[in-house]
Amino acid sequence: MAGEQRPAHRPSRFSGLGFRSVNGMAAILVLVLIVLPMLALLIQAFWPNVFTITPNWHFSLAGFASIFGTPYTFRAVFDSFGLAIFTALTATIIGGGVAFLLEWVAIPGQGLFNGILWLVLLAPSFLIGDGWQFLIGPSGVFGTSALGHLLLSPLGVSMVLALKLFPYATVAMSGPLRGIGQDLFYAARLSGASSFRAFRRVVLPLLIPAAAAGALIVLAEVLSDYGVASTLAQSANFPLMTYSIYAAMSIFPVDFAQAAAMSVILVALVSISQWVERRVVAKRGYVTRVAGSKSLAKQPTRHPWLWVLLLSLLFVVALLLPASGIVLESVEKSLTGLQGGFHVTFAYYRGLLHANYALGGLVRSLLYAVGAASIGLAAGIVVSIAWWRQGGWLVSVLKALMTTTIAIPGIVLGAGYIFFWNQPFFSNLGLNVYGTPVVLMLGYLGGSLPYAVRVASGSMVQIPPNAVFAARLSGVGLTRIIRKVFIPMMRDTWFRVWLIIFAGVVFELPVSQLLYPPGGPTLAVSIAHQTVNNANVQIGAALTVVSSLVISLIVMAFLVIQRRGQRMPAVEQAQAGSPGL
Amino acid sequence: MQLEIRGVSAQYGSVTALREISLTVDTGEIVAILGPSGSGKSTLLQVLAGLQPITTGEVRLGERVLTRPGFIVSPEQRGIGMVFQDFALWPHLTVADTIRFPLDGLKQSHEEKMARVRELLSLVQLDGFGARYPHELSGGQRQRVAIARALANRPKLVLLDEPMASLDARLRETMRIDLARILHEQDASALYVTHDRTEALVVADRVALLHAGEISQSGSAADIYERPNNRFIAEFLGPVNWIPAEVMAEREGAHAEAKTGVGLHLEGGVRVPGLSAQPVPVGRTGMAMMRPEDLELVEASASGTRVWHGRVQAAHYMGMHWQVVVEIAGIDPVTVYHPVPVTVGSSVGVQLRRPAVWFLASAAESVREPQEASAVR
Repeated sequence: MAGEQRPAHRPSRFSGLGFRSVNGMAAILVLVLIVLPMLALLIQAFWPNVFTITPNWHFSLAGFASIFGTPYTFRAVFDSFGLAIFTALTATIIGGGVAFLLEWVAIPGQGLFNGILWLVLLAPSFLIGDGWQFLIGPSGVFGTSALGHLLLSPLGVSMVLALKLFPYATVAMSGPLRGIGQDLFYAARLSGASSFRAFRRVVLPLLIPAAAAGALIVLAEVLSDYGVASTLAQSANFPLMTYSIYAAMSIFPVDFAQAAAMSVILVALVSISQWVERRVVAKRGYVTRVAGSKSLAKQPTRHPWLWVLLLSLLFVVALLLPASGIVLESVEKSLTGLQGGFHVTFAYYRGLLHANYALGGLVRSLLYAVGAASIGLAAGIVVSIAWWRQGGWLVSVLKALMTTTIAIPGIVLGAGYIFFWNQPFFSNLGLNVYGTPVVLMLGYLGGSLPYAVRVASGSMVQIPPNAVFAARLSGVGLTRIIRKVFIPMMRDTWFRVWLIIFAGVVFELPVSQLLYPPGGPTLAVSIAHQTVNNANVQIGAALTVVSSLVISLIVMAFLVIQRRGQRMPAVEQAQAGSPGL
Repeated sequence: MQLEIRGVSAQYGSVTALREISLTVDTGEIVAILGPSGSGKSTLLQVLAGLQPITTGEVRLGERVLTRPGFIVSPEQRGIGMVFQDFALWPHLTVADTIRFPLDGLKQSHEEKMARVRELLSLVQLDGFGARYPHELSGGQRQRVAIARALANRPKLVLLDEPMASLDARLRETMRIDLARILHEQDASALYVTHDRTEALVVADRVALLHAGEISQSGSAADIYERPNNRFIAEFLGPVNWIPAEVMAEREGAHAEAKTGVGLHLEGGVRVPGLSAQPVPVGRTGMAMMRPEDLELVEASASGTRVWHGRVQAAHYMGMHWQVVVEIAGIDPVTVYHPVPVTVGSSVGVQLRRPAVWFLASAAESVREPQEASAVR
């Protein structure tokens, strides 16, 4: 129209790219999968009657009172905390030593040991607990009263957890150790310090923040652990918080207030340790390598094979011994250990075909794992894209939520799902998901999302902002940016996220135990059910062996496919800039 | 104590990074190793620091052999200080602790060590900064700490690996002068590696130019700037105008440096005295080197044997002067620095200011062999 000016558009940072909808989707995912279920549980610690048939908002601390008034739960709080501190220290010492051997000195087989480290990290803790019990527990294959007594003691529980969790400390320290610039070390050498003194005076002090961070991660993991709490610690009559939450919801009458109050304490302790860990990492202020400066080459050592032997022994104890406990238990004929001689039988493997709570669990868990890994990865990508862009108040809130919920114990999340998805509100909407596979799948997603976001967003920061900006200037939309920029660069990371969610969900215990639909137990529930029932221990062991083999084959097949699909390392792509659109 | 590098070669796998380098650094002397990226500067430093083995030759500090093929004295036993490009300050140690670090192994009392720390803090003008951590210091202050640490145990030799690279341009200017002062005050021999020609020319008593793993030329700053061995060196050290020239007559050396004098006929009808590194026969053609500051703009009407006539092709303001490009018939455009603006397209004269120009025979750009160059002094 002549003389009429079009109204000026207010500049929008994300116009036309659908980024606003990404923020919205991310917010909904985090709210529904994590925040609201958590609130539904934790609120009952203070308002225990809010979800009763006749709800009221009467404030009460009865749940906390019952925890500190009941010897079992009172002990659980202090046992958990004491165990966490002792285990964190032990695991950090072991993990630090392993980090030193893998990253500082030049010894053969470091790649292999790194791989085994991840196996230890991924191994379900309830299977490790079971494995040790099968091996040296009172009725284990090599069980003696002394060994059994040691295993079923607080020290034994702590050592099993330390051997399972030390890789967290190793991973926390490996990066900083690897990243120490050669100039820092050689500045000390040229100042007259021997290799040992340069390590002691320069490298060790620089690693203290990383060691503290590693210890705090282990601390949070011990507090959150349900696998060992429900197996070894339970057999050792060593009550821990996670199992006491499960117990409060499993006994009759169900004590929701106590479970909620215990969850509040547990979440508070885990959150504090996570918060301190982040403070330690953020505040350390040690820039050990500036751009352009090379990292230090691995140092030669006089006795490389001695270190290889030491590492091998550690991994044998951490992984091979508990694994062999399970294998031996699955083929051992007698139920009384080796006292009457070792008689091999495969009857328990044959028994898997007929037993209840057996192979059906494996199939179901594989399906759940594929679903949870695929949907969880997609959800993680959505949230991490919102996170990566770092724009807007919603993303800031999301960030705060994701960092506080990153280490929610599975048992707490599962309990939260019971309250949240059981609300009449959902029934009124026709969403009757409670007691169905859907709620279990949602639980898996809620548990996986913080991890998926953490890893995916950690890798995304490596994407040069200009790579995406160049794509936007080329006039392409969000979908194409994801397809042409994000996916090629993030392909390997996302694949790793998928695989780790898959491997985690297939053996997931606490959420499964609380949410599995009637008649549809998962693999971990089936194994736990068989091993709790002493008459079927060997069936449980056989199921574990078969499942582990099947899952290992699947994971290996995926890894082979990934290797073949690798054409160009993601980092190189990121450095090369934006691929052609 | 003299550092002597004699015929040193070093390799990374099949790649030769240094080729039979020979160089000496006298007591109290600062020698700059100047060269572009990939010339072998870092490898040379690594050899001297004891981090890189050599395949031929020998490195001696005084009478002591530090490195030879199959033998290497470890870094901490060399008695060498080093200032790193990123300073490599330990983030967990204070300034005083950092400077004290090299003294820890010495048999001295605590008081003596602290006196030395105070002395060095004063030398690098950081009195009162002893309790600070690296992250509480500016870039220049960090560099001073790194220098103090390198000097703390009175090393026989200080290596400096591009120590100005992390500083901004303004700070670099002041630090160049400070660094030379500090090193001279401590009477320390120093090998200063840099790719910045200005830094090398200002800081060093002598400059050695490293190119493709070989020392192409070594001498005083003025020597290699005004009388480079070849075109690469000339152009690496700054802008150059090359004008085709022919030797018309042999002349007696007109300069104290006693280079060979030649009478030159330059393209464009200019006749000037020239200098050459060695005798050149009459009739030989080559290139006369003239840096922009060797020329000046004069009136178009000016005449004489040292004046070309041309037209201003471009003029760029450079802050301290105007960079004027003048088109001259028969030769490539020449660049001249001029204090005031000139009109593009105007006719001007370009006059040579120097009494004589440097001449490189075209048949052999490198008149002297590299090994001869490294043996100068």
